[in-house]
Amino acid sequence: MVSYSYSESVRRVAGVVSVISAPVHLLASTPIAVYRWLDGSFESTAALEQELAELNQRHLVLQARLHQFKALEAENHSLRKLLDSVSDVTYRVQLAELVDVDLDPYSNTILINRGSADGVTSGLPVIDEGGVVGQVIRSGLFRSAVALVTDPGQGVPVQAVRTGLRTITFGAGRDGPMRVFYVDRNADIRIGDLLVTSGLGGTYPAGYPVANVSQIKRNVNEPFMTVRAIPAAHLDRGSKVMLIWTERPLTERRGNSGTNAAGDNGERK
Amino acid sequence: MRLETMASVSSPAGPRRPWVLPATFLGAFVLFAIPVGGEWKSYMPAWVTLVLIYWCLAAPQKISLGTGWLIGLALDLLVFGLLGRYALTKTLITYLTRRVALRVRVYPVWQQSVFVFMLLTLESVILLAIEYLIEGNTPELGRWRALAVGAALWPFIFYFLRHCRRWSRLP
Repeated sequence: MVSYSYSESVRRVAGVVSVISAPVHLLASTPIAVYRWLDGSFESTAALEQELAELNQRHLVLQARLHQFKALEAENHSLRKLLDSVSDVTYRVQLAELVDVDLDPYSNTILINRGSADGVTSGLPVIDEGGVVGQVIRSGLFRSAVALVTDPGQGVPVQAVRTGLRTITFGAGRDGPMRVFYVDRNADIRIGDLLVTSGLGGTYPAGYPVANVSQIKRNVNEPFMTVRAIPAAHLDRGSKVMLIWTERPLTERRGNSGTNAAGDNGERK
Repeated sequence: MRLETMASVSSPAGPRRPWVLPATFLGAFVLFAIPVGGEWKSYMPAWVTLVLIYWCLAAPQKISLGTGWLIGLALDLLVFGLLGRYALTKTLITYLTRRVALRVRVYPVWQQSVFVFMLLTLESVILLAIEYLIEGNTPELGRWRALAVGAALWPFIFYFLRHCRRWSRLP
């Protein structure tokens, strides 16, 4: 096993110099942009109106739920205060768009249009409307590379919603379902179980959907089950993602340097 | 007077177009970054390497080891990958190609294809080795397709770039 690290200055210089790749990325994403534009301009008004109506309806439902959520949050906050546990974690969110380019054949990374100029640093979690997309691994000035949860080197600490069972998921390439490790032979897990981030390790905030269990195989001779799960995020479609900054109270904040963001890349094998 | 004759020897007619060489590399970079859907991805050849091999064969005095290294580094920055990964392989390819350029350039094109296939394979193996050491990724066998496509496309790339070179009036 080999490890690598750059000094901070090299990383910064590389981030700035990577701006030169912008024209190439722009040219490379032109065909798809033209295709999208053509596709969009031939859409009928009726279809657009219908989509708008649907979105409005969804917005209303979500708004109603959000009010409920706010009440719950306030209640939670006051209960925590009663217990004297300080855990005032706040989140800051920023939208980012995917840049339509292929970074490297066979790499499980995507490019987003936010960079260190927007405060993006490596280790930052990225989600979309479905769930966790991955984490930023390198950030240029205006662009950042995000390693998807389906990358074999990416581990996400998760928890099953139904049972609270804690495990780690690892990617298995772009096509295959993710691997779920360290599930005990007798553990209570079913197909369809939703795995959400457990918040352990500190990179991903707790509670975001990661994957749905799709396959379980019990091996009599082995201590762990073979479990596969399908990512919850819309990794193959959708062009908008969200970056989440966790703002912890000062006492809890810990140094987050290095390319691998401590335990969250999991044990690399 | 003398300068004029020199110039007329190296460029028989019309002005030189020195921007053609960098432009072909830019084109290769763009082709490299163009998004292709799903399965087609595994058929995409290493455009930059193919263009690099051509220029190393046809105009070795234009592509020094340093140029090869810079092209590799630019590719590293382009893919936001591990710095030095492509820089290493492109330097190696520049070195190997320049070393045998005088021999290989007189081969028939199909024999050059075999040579290109070997270089592409070498690069792929080095890239895989680096990936395996650092990320622990197991190699995907689908990659050999890109190598075969690259070698099969070589004659077309060769004639196209030769046309470009003559049009640019590089020596």
